[in-house]
Amino acid sequence: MTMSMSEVDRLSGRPRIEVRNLTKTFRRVGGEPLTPVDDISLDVGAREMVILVGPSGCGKTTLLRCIAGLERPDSGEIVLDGQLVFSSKKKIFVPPAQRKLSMIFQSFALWPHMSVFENIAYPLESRKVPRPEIAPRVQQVMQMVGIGDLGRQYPGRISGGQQQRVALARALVANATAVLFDEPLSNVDARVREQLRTEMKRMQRQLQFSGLYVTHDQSEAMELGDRIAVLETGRIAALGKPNDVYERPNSEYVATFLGTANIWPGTVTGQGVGGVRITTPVGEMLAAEAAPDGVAAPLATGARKKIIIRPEKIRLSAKPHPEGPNCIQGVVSTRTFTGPFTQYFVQCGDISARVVSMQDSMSEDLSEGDAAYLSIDPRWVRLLPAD
Amino acid sequence: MSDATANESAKLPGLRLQPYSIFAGLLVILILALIAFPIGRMILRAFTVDGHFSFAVVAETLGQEWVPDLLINTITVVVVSTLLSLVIGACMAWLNERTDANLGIAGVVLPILPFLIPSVALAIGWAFIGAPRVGFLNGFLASLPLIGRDGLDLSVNIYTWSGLLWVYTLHGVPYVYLIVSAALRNLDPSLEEASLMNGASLFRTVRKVSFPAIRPALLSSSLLVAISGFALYSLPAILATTARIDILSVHTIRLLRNTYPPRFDQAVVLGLLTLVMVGTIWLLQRKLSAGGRFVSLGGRASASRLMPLGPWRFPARVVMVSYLACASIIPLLALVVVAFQPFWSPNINLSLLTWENFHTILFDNRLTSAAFANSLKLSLIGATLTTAIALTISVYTARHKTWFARVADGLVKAPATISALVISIGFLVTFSGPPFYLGGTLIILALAFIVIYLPSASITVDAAVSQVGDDLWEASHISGAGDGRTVRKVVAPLAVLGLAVGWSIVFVHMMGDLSASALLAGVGSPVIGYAIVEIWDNGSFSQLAAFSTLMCFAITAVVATVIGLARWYGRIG
Repeated sequence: MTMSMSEVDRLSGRPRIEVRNLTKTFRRVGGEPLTPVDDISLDVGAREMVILVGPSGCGKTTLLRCIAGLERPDSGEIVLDGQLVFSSKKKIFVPPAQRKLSMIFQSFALWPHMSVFENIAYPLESRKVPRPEIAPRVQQVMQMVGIGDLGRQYPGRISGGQQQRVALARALVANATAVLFDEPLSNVDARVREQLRTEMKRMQRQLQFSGLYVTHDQSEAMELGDRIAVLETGRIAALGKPNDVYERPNSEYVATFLGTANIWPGTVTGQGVGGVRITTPVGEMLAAEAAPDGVAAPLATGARKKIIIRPEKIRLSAKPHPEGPNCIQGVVSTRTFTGPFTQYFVQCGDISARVVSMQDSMSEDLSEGDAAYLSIDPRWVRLLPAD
Repeated sequence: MSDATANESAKLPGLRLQPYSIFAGLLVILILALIAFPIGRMILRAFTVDGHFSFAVVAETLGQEWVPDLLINTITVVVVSTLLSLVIGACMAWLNERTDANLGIAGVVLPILPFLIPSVALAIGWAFIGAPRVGFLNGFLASLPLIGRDGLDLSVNIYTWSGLLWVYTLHGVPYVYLIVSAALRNLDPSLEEASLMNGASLFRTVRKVSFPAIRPALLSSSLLVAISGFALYSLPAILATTARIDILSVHTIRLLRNTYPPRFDQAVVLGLLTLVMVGTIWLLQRKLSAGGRFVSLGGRASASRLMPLGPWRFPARVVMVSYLACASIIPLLALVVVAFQPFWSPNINLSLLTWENFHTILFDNRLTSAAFANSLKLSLIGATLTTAIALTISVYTARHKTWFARVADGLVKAPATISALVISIGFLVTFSGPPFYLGGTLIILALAFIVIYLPSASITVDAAVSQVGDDLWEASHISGAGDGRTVRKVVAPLAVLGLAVGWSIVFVHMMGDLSASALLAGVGSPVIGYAIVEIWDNGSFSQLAAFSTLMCFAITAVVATVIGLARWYGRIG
């Protein structure tokens, strides 16, 4: 891998994967055309892990397969390590075998008739690496991912975690430009998934490969990604660091796809030192930050907005907090204990607010029917345009 | 997502210019030439006189006084035996898939039988059983005390309409069974259970739910039987000739083989007539099955849901076992017994049994020994080439969803509807004379064999290839391997058992082929089918039996070895 590191350094100035205005349309037999990739542009930098996340049918897998060369886009460009591999204008289509990418499949796609060693050696043999160099490199990669002694085993006889390591070793052995992940954890059960995810994260940090990772699981996306791209029907709805996208969602779609959110309509009443004042069905609220990125800064009084508050940012108490703004009165309508946290729905007038309180938080434990006071730090009140 | 969509990815250059695609494309063009050229020559020959378009040849042939009888006989045999095959095959499939009368492993073996026993061996075996006076069944009946020679006359004669229909039906049943049992396996048993729960009797359920739900399978299997029935040569050549029933395929080949000078023109017209009849059935099948794409219904439920037949269980099993015996063990046994007799006799005398016949056909008779060696060589090479071509094209059509791939797929399966007989006539009139001069060589036979048996190989290979998941291909492509390497290293090893089955089917057909062999082989390059026709014409039944026994033995040995090797190889992984 030493060679790959120098290569990484040489190329570090330039993204590993560059996607420019990519579009792919399917014509369903006897039906409406479908555009799972609609004018998408995206970069994956050196040593960076970018996650494509979205509900099924949003086009994330199609985008990944276009980059891999397994699907042929209709228009746009794809550049890998500075080399143009697809361009509709220049009529360039480099087949997948010559793209120098690697991919980890949903099923891992280990060839059952080859031993672990043969599986990992395959990309080197295909790329005509001289025979004497193959065995040491395979050994080295196997050590690296922690399966040094599994070479003679067959994929059917090893555990799911080991299979993932074999798949990773096969993806890394040829020093590919980037590793593409096609929902690799969606077929394993929840407990194993948790473990494999942690493992994957550690490997990526340690080995510093570039990756583009497709998943429909938002928690997986936030845990693994350096950046995440939330896809909505063929377009990127949000792109950024996981906590930015989560804390400052730029649309209701993004806010509700990544976790849960209270979203209430409101009207701007003024702008002052503390932030923006806004009237909502639950009363006057103060939002510390003017607006998320991309929304025009000066807010006209009377402008219609939506406010968005994550349930875990709301503090719940039996008595009112006199000191702060954003204090709302209501009645607990349902309380659900889930172990690490308790979820409440609090009826505040016509609005039902969702509140999540961790076991060890400052919120008080309330019962259904109790009077409740919600208080929210103005920092956690975000404004969104009202469609 | 891409499964449900029409992929339009062929517009840009790139993938299509891979070496693999070029190779596959050349193969497709070669196959196209080998089909279109002979058929074209036949049409040209039938519709021109001295270079001018004319109906004279067709009119002259169809005006012969034997034509009406020929057509009536052929259609009667095919239609009646198809209906009988449908009833028997569908009932057996239902009994085996759905009731507690199922035969377990024998139910698995049943569909494989026709592929292991060439129809010519089936026909000869039944001739030994059912011939008047000398047939074993008649010998047995005569020896019974009450019936005997002096009592009731229960003697049978295979050389009759009923005998011919019986063997045609035995030949047709496995095709129906294969398709119908597969359809039943895909049919959710809860549909039938719902009917039973709603108060319908078992019989009503079968009549109103099970069979209507698999109507497309019933239809397509019976049309398949009809198609193969029209082209069948071996059965009528052995049985119908002696019975003096004039059958289209036999008559056509007689015009070329036993008439001097050969009546090429008439044979070509009869060949085209076969083509038209088979083509009509094929179109009918397409039309009918397109309208009835029944939704396939749920996954296979647990095997425990078998309907209890109660008192009918035992008789049902007896009937199925009897069929198995009639289609395989009994005719094979008859062949073996005659092969060891010094002369064919219904009275089996153990002290007279001898290896002499085997010695004769292997060492003394030049024709049979050469034929055996040639057939073995031809079938081994032919089956390998055919399977390789089928695999190459199957992979190409599976990976490239272009119009060319669709044409290629249709093309390799087309000979099934053109029939062996027609292709053989086409090859005879096209390649035996100038400028090819391939008449009487093994090359013309090899080419004909490949074209004729490509569909059987192709269908099996397609199934095997489709079992290799898309992700395994794609993983190979992503790993830097092109199509060729992916096929060699990933697809072929994983599909090895299916490929071995496809290879075996082709091998058996080539070993037991009669129609192409009768027309295209010659004294200088005899093959098994040619030798069988020769011996049948010139009459040593014991040698014929020994020769057929040897053929079945060789087939069983080779197929067992190949399947065994494939399983062994498959288990390594």
